[in-house]
Amino acid sequence: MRARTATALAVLTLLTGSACTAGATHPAPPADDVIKAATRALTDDCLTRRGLTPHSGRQRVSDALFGTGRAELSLRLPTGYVVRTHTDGCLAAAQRRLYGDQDRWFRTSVVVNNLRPEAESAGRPLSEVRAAHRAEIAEWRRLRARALTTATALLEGGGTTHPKGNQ
Amino acid sequence: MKRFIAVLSAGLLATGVVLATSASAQAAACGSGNFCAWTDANYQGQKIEWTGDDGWWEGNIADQDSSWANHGISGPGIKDYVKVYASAHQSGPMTICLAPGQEAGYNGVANDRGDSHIWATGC
Repeated sequence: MRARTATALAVLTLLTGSACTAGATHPAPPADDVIKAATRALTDDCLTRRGLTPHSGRQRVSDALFGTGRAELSLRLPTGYVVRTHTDGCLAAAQRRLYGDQDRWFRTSVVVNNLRPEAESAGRPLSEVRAAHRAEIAEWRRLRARALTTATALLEGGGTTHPKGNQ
Repeated sequence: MKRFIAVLSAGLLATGVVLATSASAQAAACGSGNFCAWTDANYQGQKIEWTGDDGWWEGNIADQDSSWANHGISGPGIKDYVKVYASAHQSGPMTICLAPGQEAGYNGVANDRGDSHIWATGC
């Protein structure tokens, strides 16, 4: 098992242990933590394959992790903000692995993550804005479920190396 | 390997601010683990770089923010999302919530509004 995956699993074990009660079976760790642990394992392996170390410098690590040049994906929110992200970094590669479709995850999650700002900007109740975006919320849940399944298998199997390429 | 993770995570656990002037034409030059805001569009002008929360932005960036980048590092239990608020101490409307790796270059409508921000595990 790769060391970083072992570290991620150790963190998850701690999270699970802290959440369980004496004598009870261990509950599943929060989905969010499983996905984040898998994301960390994937991005750390990617950074290592690109020859980066803790001494490489924050900007070099940042470029490799988040991408460089003009951001390829872009979405304008109803609030006016135009959110962008890159497709060439280690994080993008991890998201493609976990969610299956980085573009779709980006467009869905940016909307869902900004429902409250949209409601406050428009002076509408949050429940009304959520109802207006129920399709995006459903898609967000579907993509999250896929990511959780992939992340769980990845962490249990210890296989973070991408079968193709070095991302 | 654990050391690598610890180093990358350290930025999120510490609190600090770095002032700099951006020279990047396209990419958001923002260190790993940090949240950055610039006074000009497309990551230009004066850059403020935070490793932690800030409940009251300094006068050189408060209500003068024109572009933003979240370069937080994900991990279990780690606060890697950034919520920006229009008033101090994370009050008033939330203007935007950025996940790790997300940036916002500029928009004439959504501009010069931020006064504080906080890291969170989600939006």
